[in-house]
Amino acid sequence: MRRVVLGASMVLALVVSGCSSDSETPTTATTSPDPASGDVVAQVASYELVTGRSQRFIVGLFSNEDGMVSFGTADLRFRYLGTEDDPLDEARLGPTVTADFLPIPGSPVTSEPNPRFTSPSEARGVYGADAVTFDDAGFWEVAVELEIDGEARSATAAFEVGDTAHVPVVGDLAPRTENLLPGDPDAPPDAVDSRADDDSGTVPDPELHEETIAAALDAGRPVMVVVSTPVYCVSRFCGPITDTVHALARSHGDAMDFVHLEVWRDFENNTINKAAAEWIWPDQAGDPAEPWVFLVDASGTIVGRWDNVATEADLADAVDEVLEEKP
Amino acid sequence: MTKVGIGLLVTVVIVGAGWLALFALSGDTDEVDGDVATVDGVCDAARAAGTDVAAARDVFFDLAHDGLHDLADRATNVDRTVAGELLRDKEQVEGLLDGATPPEQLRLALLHLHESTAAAAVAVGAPEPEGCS
Repeated sequence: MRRVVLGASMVLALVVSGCSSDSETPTTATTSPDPASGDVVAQVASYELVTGRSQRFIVGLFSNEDGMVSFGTADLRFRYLGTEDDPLDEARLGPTVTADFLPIPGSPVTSEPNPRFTSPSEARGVYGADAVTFDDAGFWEVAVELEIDGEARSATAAFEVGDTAHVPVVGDLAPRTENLLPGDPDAPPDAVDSRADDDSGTVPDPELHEETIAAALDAGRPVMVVVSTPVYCVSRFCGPITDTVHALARSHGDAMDFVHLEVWRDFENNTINKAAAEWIWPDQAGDPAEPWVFLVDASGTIVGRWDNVATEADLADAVDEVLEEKP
Repeated sequence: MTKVGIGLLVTVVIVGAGWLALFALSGDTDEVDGDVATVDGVCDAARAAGTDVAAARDVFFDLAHDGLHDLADRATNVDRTVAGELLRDKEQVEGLLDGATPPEQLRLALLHLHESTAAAAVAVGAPEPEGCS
């Protein structure tokens, strides 16, 4: 790839990241600055990608004219573009993977064999591939290829891979968080859960607010942590993912703990909860993104991490796995 | 520099500042179009809710939901009070879409959401929308 093209990709990546000047904050991008109305557009949905780790990569596909792309699989081909200071003259080929459609929990239709355009009321989701490893930090490009109604379609998106993780990763010890619980005199009800009733303090998912993470770790119980703000969510998926974890709490709450950390202590004054910050904004670099889900095993080690989108099946399978391993 | 030259320079600066201010307030054309469509989509959902909650749900998700998130995201950079009002009203509507809600209750919630959506759209640079009835 010529430097001028790389430069355009980098500019685009920075623009769509919200003009963050923090180059360590991962970014997402779309196909081109001005795609034709019928083009398929790719938007990287991963919040944090780091070099040298086997990790999940998720990307959303849509057309301004035809709606979202759902179902089936898509082929993803990655290319390394270099860094801002040292762009490559020719992009270097990276991994090639097949990504499955990951439906947003609550979507009316969740599975069909082939990709097609759908309306949001019919199906919503992203395409995801597990175990993708990027061997260099800097800017990368993903080329997405799939067939829709017999026609080959493709899209590209540029994104950034950091050299270090800012959010806890698989293998880290879980933060020993003393999260707020209902009735805590230190906080208004909506700092415990943005859906809490202001007068009574009642939360809609009490099973997610019974225990602190610190207490779960002390007891040697596995714990699933969802960091989200169902009311003040701008990422679209906080409510469904919180509801999914709530359903798991109801079905598996006797064997392990489930905790919801509300992101905002005071949304309007831009004050994040300390407990949430320990998980999704520990070094306060860039802007915090939500939702996130983490799974911690009985030894207190993080064994699962999902950013932005997680299916009911993904989370349920991971819960079953950690409970099977529980001593 | 002559007085004429200084005058021209001042004029250029004033016009330039005014243009920049106008640009900053007016927002990107595509975003403005999207915000107007979102406001209209909420109104369409309110109209559908008068007779059919299921139809209102489809209209809400197809024409308004994603646009509301985009609008709220940008509004948080301008006025978090307005953005918060929008997101609370959206949550209220979504809660009603999930259950067996009387159509009139959903319609009123959507009309309330229309007001907060319009306020957020104006806050990020869209023109004042028409009312919804």
